[in-house]
Amino acid sequence: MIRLGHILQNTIAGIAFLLILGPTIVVVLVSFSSAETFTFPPPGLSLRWFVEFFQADNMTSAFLFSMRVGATSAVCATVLATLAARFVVRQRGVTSGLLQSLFTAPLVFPAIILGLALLLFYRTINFGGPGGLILAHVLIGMPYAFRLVLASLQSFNQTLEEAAQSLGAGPFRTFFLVTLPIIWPGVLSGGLFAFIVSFGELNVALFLTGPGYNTLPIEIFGYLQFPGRQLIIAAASTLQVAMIIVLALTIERLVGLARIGKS
Amino acid sequence: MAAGEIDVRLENVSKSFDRVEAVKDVSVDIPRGQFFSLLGPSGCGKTTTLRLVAGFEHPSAGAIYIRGAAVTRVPPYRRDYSMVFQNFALFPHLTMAENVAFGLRMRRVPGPERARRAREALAMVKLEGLAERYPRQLSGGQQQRVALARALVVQPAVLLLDEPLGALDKKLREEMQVELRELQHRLGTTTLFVTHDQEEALTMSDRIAIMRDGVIEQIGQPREVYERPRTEFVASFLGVSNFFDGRITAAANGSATVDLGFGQAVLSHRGTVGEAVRFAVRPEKVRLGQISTGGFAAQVREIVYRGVTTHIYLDCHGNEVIVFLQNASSDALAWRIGDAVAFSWERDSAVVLDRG
Repeated sequence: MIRLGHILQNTIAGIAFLLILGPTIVVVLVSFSSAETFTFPPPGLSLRWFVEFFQADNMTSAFLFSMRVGATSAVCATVLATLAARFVVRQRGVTSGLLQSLFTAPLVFPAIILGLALLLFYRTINFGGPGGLILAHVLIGMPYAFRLVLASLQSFNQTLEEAAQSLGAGPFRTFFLVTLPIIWPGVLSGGLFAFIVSFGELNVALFLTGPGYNTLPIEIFGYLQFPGRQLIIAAASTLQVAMIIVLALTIERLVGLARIGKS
Repeated sequence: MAAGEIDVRLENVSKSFDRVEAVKDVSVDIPRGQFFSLLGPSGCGKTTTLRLVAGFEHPSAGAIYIRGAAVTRVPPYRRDYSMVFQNFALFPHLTMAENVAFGLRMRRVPGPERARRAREALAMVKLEGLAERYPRQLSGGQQQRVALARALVVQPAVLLLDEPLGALDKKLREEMQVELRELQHRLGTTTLFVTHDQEEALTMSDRIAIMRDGVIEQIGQPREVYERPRTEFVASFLGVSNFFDGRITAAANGSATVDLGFGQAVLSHRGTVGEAVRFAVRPEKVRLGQISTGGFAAQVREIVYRGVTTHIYLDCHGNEVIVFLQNASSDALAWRIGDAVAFSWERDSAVVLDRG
């Protein structure tokens, strides 16, 4: 009886994973296809679509632009998130809860509405271009960074800051010589998370990108509207997936590090 | 004592958290070189008082001075003190040597001198071999010593100790008590020590303040507060006491005769006839004898052998009286449960308590 329950549980978990990962696996497999059009399973293997990807100027420039947007917005989001988390962790009770909800609000706010709202806002103040997109991605990435930094600050022994102060360290030296060297895995994970979110973001980018500054998701999206060379998208997606896997593994490792550092 | 020699001064200091008064109108002067203890149960405000001196909390009223300088509104990192925390608070990402050198680094002491002084400080606590280890590689006792070295290396005007021995086991704690006291004597560092352990306070201090509900109930030398407690709280928190209630039936020339209900006692006390008094007698000051020797009659209810002493619990007309007898001879062991005995004390052993 117990055994049967066990099998059932595993089956359900298996199906769930398949539903989540299946489509991605198909895309990754197809990107190595030698065929001209989408056929599954692929008739043969080749790297031709990756070669085409790197030869397509619009694709590579979008890829590089996404990297730049991701890196810049991740750094800004992490700095802001760290400041916010430090403030929140010092509050007690209701204030702390309210501020946490406030700082994580962009998570539950529909991205498409955020994109539209920012577009209208930028128009009124005559702002835009890559800066506008980066600012939007800071907004979207910050809740993720905030959560991770907050978690590492919550497990950080605040007495260490008092110890540093008792030895003559002011707020800046206390942060950079004691707090940051201990919580850095959380801060870095937060930054990487913000980067991943920005790198794959489509909804807001739809409103805020333009000619000359397209992100990779926008470029992929654009390709869907034209027939032919469709598998270049699969190659682009595979690259994106590969990058996210590497970053996710890095984060996993850092979070593990943070746990070790605590004991 | 000249004013210049006071290293720590609290002037009518109060501190409230959300309308709860944790410290109420506390005034203390700690002269240079003194080992001063704040003793009390948890929640009595002793730790808050220490944190006020450290600058981690700011007083709601009153003023704080460290070596004559008003520091009431000065942030912690600009006050001339250092501190040993309850759980040591060593920096986990720094080696022992780096931990000890941290305060010197903050004071911009040049590298070579910093290294030398850190080495000396580690040698002072007998840990010179562990300079390159990290905190998690050390035992509790070793961490404790590094924390002490880290605090002392900066030669502070005052050393603050927040129950620094609380995390150690009993044997190690007793060793560290003596070691800490020796070190403090040798260096002459003015020390403010917070503890809830009365034995620790008695062992280490030049002067003790007993706190309760945010108020200092009594300040004095260990012997003074132990032998002449002013209130029932002090008498029961610091060691064990027998308490007796009675009414004065006769008073003259600084002595009073008190009716206890089961007998009469004479106290050194200026009182008026009819006044109700409560007094304390330490268990080791109570003498025990056969009924024929005179004193108050009682019955032995329980005998507890404790190695150095034997504790005998008497029942005296429904009142419990505890007697500590030294096991210097086998006299103490001659008593049996149920024996009829007589107990008494020397007149000066009875301490009349403030009504409160």
